[in-house]
Amino acid sequence: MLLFDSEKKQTKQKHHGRISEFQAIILAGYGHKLYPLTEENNVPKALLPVANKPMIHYVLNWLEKAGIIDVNIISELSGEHKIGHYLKNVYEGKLKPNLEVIKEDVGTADALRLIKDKIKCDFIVISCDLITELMPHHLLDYHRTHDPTFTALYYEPHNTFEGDSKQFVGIDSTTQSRLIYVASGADLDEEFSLRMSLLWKFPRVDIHTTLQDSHVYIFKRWVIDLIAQRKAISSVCDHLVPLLVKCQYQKLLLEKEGIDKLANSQEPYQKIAHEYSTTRNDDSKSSPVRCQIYIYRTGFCSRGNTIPKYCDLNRHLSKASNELNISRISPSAEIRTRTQVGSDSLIGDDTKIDERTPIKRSTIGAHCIIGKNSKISNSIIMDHVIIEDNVKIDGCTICNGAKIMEKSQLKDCIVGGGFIVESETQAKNEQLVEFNDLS
Amino acid sequence: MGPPKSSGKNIEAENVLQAVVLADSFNERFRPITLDKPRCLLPLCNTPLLEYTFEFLAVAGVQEVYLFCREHSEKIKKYVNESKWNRSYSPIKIITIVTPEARSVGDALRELDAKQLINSDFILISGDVVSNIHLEKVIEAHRMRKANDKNAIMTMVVKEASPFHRTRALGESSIFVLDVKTNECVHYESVETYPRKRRMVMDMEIFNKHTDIQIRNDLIDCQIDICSVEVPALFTENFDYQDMRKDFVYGILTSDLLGKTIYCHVVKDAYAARVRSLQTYDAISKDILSRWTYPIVPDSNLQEGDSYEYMRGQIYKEKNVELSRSCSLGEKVLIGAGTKIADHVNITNSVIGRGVNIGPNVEINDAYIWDDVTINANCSISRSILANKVILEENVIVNKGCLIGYDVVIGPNVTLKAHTKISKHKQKYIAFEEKDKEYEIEDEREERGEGKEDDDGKDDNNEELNKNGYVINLVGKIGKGYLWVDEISDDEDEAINLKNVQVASLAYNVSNISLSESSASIISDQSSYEESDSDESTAQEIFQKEVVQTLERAFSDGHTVEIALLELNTLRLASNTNFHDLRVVVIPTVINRIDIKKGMIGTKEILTRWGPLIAKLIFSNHDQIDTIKILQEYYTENQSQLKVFAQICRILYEMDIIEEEALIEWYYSTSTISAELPSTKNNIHMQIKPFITWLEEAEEDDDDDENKNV
Repeated sequence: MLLFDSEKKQTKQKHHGRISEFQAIILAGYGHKLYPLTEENNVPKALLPVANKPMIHYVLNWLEKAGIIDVNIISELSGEHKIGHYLKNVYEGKLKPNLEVIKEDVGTADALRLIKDKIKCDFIVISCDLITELMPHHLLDYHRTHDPTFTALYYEPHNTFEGDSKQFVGIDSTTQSRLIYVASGADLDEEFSLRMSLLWKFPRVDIHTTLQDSHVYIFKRWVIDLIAQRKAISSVCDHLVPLLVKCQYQKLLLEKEGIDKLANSQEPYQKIAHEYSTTRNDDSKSSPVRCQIYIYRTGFCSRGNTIPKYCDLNRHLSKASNELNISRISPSAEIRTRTQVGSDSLIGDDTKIDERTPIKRSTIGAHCIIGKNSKISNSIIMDHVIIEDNVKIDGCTICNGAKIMEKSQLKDCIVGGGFIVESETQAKNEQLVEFNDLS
Repeated sequence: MGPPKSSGKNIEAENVLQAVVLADSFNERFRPITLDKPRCLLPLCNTPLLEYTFEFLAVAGVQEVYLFCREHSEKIKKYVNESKWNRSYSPIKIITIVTPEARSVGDALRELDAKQLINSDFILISGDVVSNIHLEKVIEAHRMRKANDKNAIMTMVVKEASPFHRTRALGESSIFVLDVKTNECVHYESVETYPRKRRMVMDMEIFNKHTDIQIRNDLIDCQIDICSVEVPALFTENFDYQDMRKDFVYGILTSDLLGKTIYCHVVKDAYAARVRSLQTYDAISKDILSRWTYPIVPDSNLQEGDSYEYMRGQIYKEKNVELSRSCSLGEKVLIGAGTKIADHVNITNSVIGRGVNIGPNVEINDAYIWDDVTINANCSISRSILANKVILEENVIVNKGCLIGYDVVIGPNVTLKAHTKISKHKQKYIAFEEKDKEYEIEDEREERGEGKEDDDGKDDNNEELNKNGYVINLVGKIGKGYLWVDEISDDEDEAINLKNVQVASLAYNVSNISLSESSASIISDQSSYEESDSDESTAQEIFQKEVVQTLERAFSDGHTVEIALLELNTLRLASNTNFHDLRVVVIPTVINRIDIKKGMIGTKEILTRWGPLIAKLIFSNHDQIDTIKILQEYYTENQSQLKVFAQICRILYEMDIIEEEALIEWYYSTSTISAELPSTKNNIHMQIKPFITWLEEAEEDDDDDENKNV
């Protein structure tokens, strides 16, 4: 008995004594672009189901694979309860994320500023809506070898979506890895211009317009000091990243913002290695700010930050779910005869589906009740949804606790949480939400 | 009979590869040397420039060359007729076309179109290109592209190099924007050193057609173009196109109507450069001697009668060269036949022509000495060009960047300043006196007078003439030659061009040309974006003007302090100035509004309204002192209103805009030296003294109070 106890103690100590190389900060914001899915009566963005798992599950899973222990989730007040509940009672992974709650609606960098005391080492900033097949160690190793101020992960989207603004990404063509220009299409008007100082420093610039920002950044620790000092930096991708990128070729800016001092306050990992190395020190390493880009082209990577992209994520993952080891139809689901569930669909726990209701390319959550002679295709149906008989649903997203009465026909609609669609409703391309939500 | 014959002709016609060589550069960079000889016949490593171009074209399989000449056409014709290209075994047929009225590349191409000489794709090249690119591949690639893209009309051959490569002409490099996949040129922008470019700008529409583009500032454009037949026709259609790049390429790329496309062929492993300035002349000579241009090197003996041998240390020597035992040849030296070099001569990095006589104890570094030059004892030459038959008498020192024209005699005992140009031809001055003023800024002003003297007969004491009628100070007692000054045009654009030319001069050195500070920063510090001095003064003036205007608007329209501040800050950010600059303008403008007649009330009125604005421009104790100094300066100049100064200080103090510490610090820091200053400053002190004393007393009281409390 005694022996057993001491052993337990030891393992516990070991766990605490481990020095982590990276900290992760998951930004679980409100998700404005996902309205009305993220309304109060449904779930916060982090918990929106993708192939019947909350989005944040994939992020936590990815971080776990990356071997990161120290994980902080920044959530807004509205999501505190639900995310807390999820982490405590539902989440099954090995991580023990720390939930930080901040007051609503601040920029991403503002959020980091509020928890700056928690950041002790180089940190990864990741959004809760990212799903990728990229093996995390590829990115981390890339960051370790280049040892830059930050590494940003960009991906080539497999599909283009309307809501996405064009991203202009400038990469130094000779190294193919330095990020030297970022701009969003929305910020640029009719003209595209580059500073000559950039072109003297980096004579060959590749400008890509097909890449998308995954909003995964690995920052050096001193960057949090910069965020803390500069109150004007409110967003990571709109302010912080462009500022650092510019500092690579605008010396004056670098000095004005005092970034050179901050950057030199932290010794680069490889400095000592370079000092003892017989090969010549690479000149590019001498600049105080270096921004690297990792472009992921070979596999799936996407964010669920808009409704079309969220739906696409669902479609993609329910198709590919074999690889993700999700059981297609929960053993506890009840499906009557003559109802066909396509191989690209998922059915959650305790869901009941009545006769002659074919289900194609859709994900259906837990505890749903679906009536007879209905037809469901290309849709996302969350938990506790009731669909009566003879209903046709195509391309819709139906939130928790909604009810769709008989003989309704919905196409490309979004049904808000708890909303009741009257019988024989015919709707196309509409958002069906409670009236008071609109106010 | 007819049909088969004609088809046979067509095939033949397609097989003939044509080239158009522009033997004229349409500029005057090599003046005064080009007064005697066209640029394309100037020797580069003892071989006329045109020879390199012909060799390059012959290797590429060109069969027909149309040679466009303007100036010195007779000399060019004669040269071509006598050269090996006119022999029966010559692979290329050269047809010279004289266009005396052509003023630009555009004119030449319009002439070409009018003559209808071209019947298929042709190579357009200027007569000063040195290259070992395998052009057949490029032409093939061009034809492939044409098959894919019917609108493709031109391929520009460009060479990849670092942006600071020595053969990249300073002052006129260019940025190419290419489509990554196809190498289509989607945007072209020329970069001149003056006026300094800060941003490159292109149309967003480009991104609608091309998703991935590459912006390249590392390409050497040696203006080798593969053109389709449409190109000359397009020049005719657009009669205002002059320059191949700035007008034609830019015009085609920005035109929505034409819908033509231009491609770039980027060469990585071959050599290509164009002798377009003295700076590139120097660079290319060195490249040839270092064999970057292989197989186009001196020991390939391009011309008939050449007999160069390659020796260790990159020394090339022709037969029949007399070297003394004690002379020493450093690396990269080329010596032509019949040259005699006497004792104790040191030569490094230089090209010596044929039949040159070099006397004892001569130093030659980085110099280009053409045929039949005589250099007498104890001369020293660095980084300069001495044209044919120049004679340097004893003890002549030629400093960097000099250009000495044909048949000039200099010496004895003369030192030529850096960047001096001397010619046998007297320069014709137009409105010389006006220009003279401009010249003052340059350091060569002493030597300039002789043209003036001859022109308008004014006597200049400094300019003593020698027996040949030349200025002694310039060319020495038995010298012959006039000073040549690059012409500065009244036109502002051309004045800027001249600066660009200076940058491209031989031995261009950052520290030598004072005017070129901003370009110096490009070179020495690639990433900096400091303002150049000349820019700043004008920018400053504009800024001040705009600030005053903004304030006046604020006064007249009754803006709030916040709005005025916002506008001022915008201005400040836009012109990249600091708060001090803003204060310097704002404070005098505000206090100017004070109505002195009203006395204290008037002062108070204005300051209660606009004081907060001044307060918003002050952040530290230092700024407060700065503010007082600005006030002091203002009242030093406006003596009559001196009384108001103390009032203002008082009010600003009461408004907490200036604190007592600042006032006292300022008072004592200036009062110590004020004894020597004009009486006004003392007056200011007199004015403010009571107030300061009052302040000090108050402070003491405070201190006392505090002490008591403790």
